Amino acid sequence: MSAPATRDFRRRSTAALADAELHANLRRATGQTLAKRRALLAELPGADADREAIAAIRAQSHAAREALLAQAKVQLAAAGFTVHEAADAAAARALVLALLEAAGARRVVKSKSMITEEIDLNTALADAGIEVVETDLGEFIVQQLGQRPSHITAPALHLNRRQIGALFAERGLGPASEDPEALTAQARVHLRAKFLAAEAGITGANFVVAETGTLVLLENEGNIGLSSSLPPLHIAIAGIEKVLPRLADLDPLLRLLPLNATGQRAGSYTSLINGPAPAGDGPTARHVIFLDGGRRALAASPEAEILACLRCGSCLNVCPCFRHAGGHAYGGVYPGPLGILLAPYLGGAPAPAGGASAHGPATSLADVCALCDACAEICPAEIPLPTLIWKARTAREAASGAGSARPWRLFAALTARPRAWRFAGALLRLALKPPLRGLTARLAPTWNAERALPAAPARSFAAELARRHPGRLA
Amino acid sequence: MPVLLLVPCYIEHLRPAIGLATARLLERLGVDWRYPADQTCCGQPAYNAGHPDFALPAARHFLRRFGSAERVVSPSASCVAMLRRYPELPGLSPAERAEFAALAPRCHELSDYLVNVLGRETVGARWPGRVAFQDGCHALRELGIAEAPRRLLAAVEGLELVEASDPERECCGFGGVFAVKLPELSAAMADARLAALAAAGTDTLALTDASCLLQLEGRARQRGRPFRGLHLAEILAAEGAAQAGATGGAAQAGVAGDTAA
Ligand code: SF4
Ligand code: SF4
Repeated sequence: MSAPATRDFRRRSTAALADAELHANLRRATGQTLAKRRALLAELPGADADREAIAAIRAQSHAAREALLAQAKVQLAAAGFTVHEAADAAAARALVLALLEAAGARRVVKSKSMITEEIDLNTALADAGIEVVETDLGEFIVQQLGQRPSHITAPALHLNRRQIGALFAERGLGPASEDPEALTAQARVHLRAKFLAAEAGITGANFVVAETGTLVLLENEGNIGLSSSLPPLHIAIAGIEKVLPRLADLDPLLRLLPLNATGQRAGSYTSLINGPAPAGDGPTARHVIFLDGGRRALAASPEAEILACLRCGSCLNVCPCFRHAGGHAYGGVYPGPLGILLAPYLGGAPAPAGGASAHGPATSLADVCALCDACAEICPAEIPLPTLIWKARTAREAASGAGSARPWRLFAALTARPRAWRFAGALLRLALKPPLRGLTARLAPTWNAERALPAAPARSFAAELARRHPGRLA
Repeated sequence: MPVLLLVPCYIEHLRPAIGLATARLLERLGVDWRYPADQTCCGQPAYNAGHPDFALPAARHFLRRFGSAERVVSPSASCVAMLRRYPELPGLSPAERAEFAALAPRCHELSDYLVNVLGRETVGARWPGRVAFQDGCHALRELGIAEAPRRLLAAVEGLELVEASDPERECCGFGGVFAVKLPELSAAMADARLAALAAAGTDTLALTDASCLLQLEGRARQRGRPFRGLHLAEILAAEGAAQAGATGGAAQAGVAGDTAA
């Protein structure tokens, strides 16, 4: 039996597959990014060494997380940041609201940040009567549609130019256009006014360097730079797993992150922020909120390695499930291979005391994986995603009681009894032949609805071998 | 010491022609081989479904039957990938774990065995026609087998090898329980492979795993798409003399003859 989350995924992905335009958009967008990455990879002989270096850095960060977090807090404070820690999404939202209120800020610009999606910040701000505008083009588009991002680095990859042009025209942002440059220009005009009027800017953080107390932000459009430097108040929200030991650790990360995320040699903009600027130039107050939000529980789980994730999104691009179904089919904040692993811990209801989240193994998406290993092959942090998904699947099975084990108990018994195994095979061949074939097709609807049953041969391989090469039987 | 042949259950019961082609090929290459008739299954279905404990009896049975072999050869990359995972199964005694670990590197997928153990790339096969090759995920990413099957195919007389894998080398959509739990998505993944095959200008696909083959064949038949799925062994076993002057279609009939016999 499938977990409820898998049933919901099946329903949503089937709907997505029936939408030819959506399907084509997903295939094209992910394929183009992968092609760019591949072309660039040929010129980057050091990519393997970078991957190893990143895996080592992330392992070290994981092992020393609490110490690094404490060091980061001290260094950030010394650099002039005000540092907070939030245990869960509700606490993080309350902190942001309190900071905005204290500053009298009613207009907020936001740069693309999955962690703010995770805590559903926009809804909380809107409920408090605060205007919040997404400034990343893709995120701006999904905000206009009232959707969540479909992809962690390309929020609107499920839409094409025609759809985006129609949306902009409908929202009065400019004349209908299918030209990406014209559309970008329309958004820019709209956003420029928002940037200038904003009293606060909210961003995530790609990394936080413990050694120096530095926030690191990578982007392509310049909006993160503006959000974090133009308004008088800057609030950055970072998961507690984002802390890196040293500034030098950025070296391999700044190469592989753009390569894997967008197929670029380097990000267009990299911001390293070391506290508020002198008066009169940029924000006078900077805050960093470190969010646990299920991360410590995840760190103690068998799937802890996923905390090394850099959120580059390349595992989504290469995953055949994501490439066909799109991010919304996963039903949570984080889609794709990493979403399967994060969903039980992050972006859901706050974890009850003791760790296991309300999302728990019972709603596991761990069946949404063909175990093809493509994501593990591409991951710049060398995270063994399919192995972790398989572990989650195993834990889900163990938790779902004897019922799910029954067929496998029988399977196991047969594999240890060659005669019984052969007999079962003979029954299978019989079931695939008339007159039973029609009945079998009806009994195997989930296979047969989409695929024709295989034809049954007259004899098994072993029986044929006994006739043709009897001397080879052992 | 003879090589022991492991033939997966779906070849045993659904496509014996692949096993027979493997047998013919080994005969022709003069390999001393044996088929342990009481073999069962590698246990992968239970393992992938999240029940590694129920893969254990299969693993132990395998060890009893194949443990003393110098080499184990199989026309299924996916099963070989499972054999290589045996040492990590939960519930093993340290002695068993050590035995599995020692046996794992002696287990080979067929093309890997031919090219990397026997050092054979030319096996005396003739197959006229345009053939595309599809990587199986386990062969490609778990076993690192990409070159060997392509080299073997490229050396087949008359065969024109084309690529049908898109650059992402996507999965065929089988994935064990995945195909049953998410049939629509699984079928969409198969459709993408079939479309890539059509784009490569052929309907003949060579594979190293019968599981991928059965998935694609079942989907193609359901949709009425032209498709001829052949295991690598079936092509490599096709002999020059028997195929001389034959068209691709006749060559296929020659292979299919094994099934009908
Ligand atoms: S292993 Fe699973 S999650 Fe990873 S790419 Fe393949 S299907 Fe997607
Ligand atoms: S799991 Fe790996 S590939 Fe996927 S987003 Fe994270 S770092 Fe990138």
